[in-house]
Amino acid sequence: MASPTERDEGAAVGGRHAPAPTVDSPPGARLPTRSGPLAAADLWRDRIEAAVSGFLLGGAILLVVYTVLVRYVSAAHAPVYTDEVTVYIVMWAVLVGCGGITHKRLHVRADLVLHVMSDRLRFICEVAANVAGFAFALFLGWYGFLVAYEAWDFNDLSPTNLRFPLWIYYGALPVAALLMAVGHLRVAIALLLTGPRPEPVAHASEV
Amino acid sequence: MGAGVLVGMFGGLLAMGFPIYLVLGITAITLLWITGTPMISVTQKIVDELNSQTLIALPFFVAAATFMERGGIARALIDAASSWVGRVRGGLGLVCVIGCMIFAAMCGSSVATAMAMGTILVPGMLRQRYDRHFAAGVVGASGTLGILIPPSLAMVVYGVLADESVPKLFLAGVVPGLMQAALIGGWVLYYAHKRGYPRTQATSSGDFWRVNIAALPAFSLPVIVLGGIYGGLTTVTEAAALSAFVAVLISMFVYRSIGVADLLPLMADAARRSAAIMIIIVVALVFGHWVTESGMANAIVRWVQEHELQQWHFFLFVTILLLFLGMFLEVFSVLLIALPVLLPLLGPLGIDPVHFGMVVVINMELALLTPPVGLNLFVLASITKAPLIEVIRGTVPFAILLGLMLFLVIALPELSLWLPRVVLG
Repeated sequence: MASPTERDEGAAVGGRHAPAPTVDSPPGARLPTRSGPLAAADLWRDRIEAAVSGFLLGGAILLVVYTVLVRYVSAAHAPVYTDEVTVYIVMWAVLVGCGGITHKRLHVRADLVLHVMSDRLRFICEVAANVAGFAFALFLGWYGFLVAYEAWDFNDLSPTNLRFPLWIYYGALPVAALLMAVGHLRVAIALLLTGPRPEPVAHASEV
Repeated sequence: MGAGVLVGMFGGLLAMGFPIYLVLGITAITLLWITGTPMISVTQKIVDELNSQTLIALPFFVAAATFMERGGIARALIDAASSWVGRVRGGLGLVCVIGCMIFAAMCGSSVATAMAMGTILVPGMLRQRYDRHFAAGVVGASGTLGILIPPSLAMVVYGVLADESVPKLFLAGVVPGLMQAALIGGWVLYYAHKRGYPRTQATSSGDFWRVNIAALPAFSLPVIVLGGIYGGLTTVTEAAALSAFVAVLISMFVYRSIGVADLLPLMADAARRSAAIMIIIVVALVFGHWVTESGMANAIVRWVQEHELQQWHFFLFVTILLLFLGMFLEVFSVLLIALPVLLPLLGPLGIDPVHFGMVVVINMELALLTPPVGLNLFVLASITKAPLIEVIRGTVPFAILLGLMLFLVIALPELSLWLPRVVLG
């Protein structure tokens, strides 16, 4: 979601004046705005991803707070599954968020050398990084899927009393990898369509 | 062959501007493929390692910091600190140090601390005719306290990688954190006196009580986090979630800096900020898997033993290495790249992992201030509207003070180890 709260505090390098800490748009990170069905699909994907990850993270916080409070009021009624379930929820929230940072090109990187490259060479590196990212995400997604599938096939359950089906938790990794693969592909295509540009590249996202 | 592939591929991809997660991931996968490790076992290890209660404290703390940055909490702290020390010459600089110290005790991020405090204090300092480079330097250096004074995101990551107690690490940061704040405060007073910076107007008794009472909800945050953990009431993860929850409540209902409509976007923002770290952790786990599988860790330990390396050799090497990496990478990337290789050496060299953790964290504070890639520098350049070179000039004296602090923490392990021993036994 193109929220005005998203910041990239690492928004300058190499002795240049730093622009205002922005949002989801470090200088040069945002590709030219396009209209049409692809842009609309991007917007909705972004909104859904942000809503899912935000909702899950907020829900996990509420669950932990509820558990802590109930534990001190009536320990017998405190949910015993919170520790375990919270991990699953938070990992889903965070891994789903990986798609958004890929689309917005907010992955942390050292881009110092890129700034002394010619526009063309930088363009090649940018495209190469996204193609490699696409391939790596597919790799991660495929093996992540195999792990989740095996857990489903063998009915792997967590070793706690909850006996949680582990494929649900394991599924976060291939889903995140798929979202990242789509993100890298989308960025690579957009770069190829726009060609080399005399602009700084995306910068590290702060955390 | 492994080491050659590692260095060549790693350096090449890094220079080409590949995201850190890709640099680590592609290198590790290639190395594991060379050693014939089944890839499905690698993925299995990733999901198993991510299944960690401690690790999820990280997104919770990031969520807390995201809400705290929104102004209301920082403003209340600054008003309260102004009522305490504002009348001293250069009082606003001192307010910055104290404000950052307290803010650091709520959120675990240096950049969030510098951002929240700097946005309010830098314009104030400039209005009082403080030198722009000095204003930037104070905020930048004080902001680094965010990862030294507990809670600390960097310590959570270190704790997970080193399999060390996070509460113990948090405690270990208290004494060095207070010392660092005192060093920075001392320099602020000296410089303010030298440059004749003004005092702020005395606060009336009524105002004093008003601003301090208004700041009470903000002060409750460190009490919840640290009181919860060390009072045995909550785990680190629970304290982090409570901190995020209370930060939301205070921001919404007390300081009114956010509305209901901001909740979901801010949570999503926090999840994405966490994702940027977590994806590097995912691949760093693969990299760590290779370090173990390939026997590299054992080889390094053997090499150290054969060459009879002393502790000070190691600390010198680590400081140079982290300083170098910190010039080009941000905190979590440095931690996740360097620690899998460095941690196996602690045992043979007889170094306490908690002590080493503090050495690493102070090195990371320096990384935040060292060009060309120092996140606090960028934040300050944007807040002060100053050229980066001017911000760097302002942070130099403070970076020297941090260097002195690093030396003290290396030379005197008790600075880090005394408090955890007293509190936790």
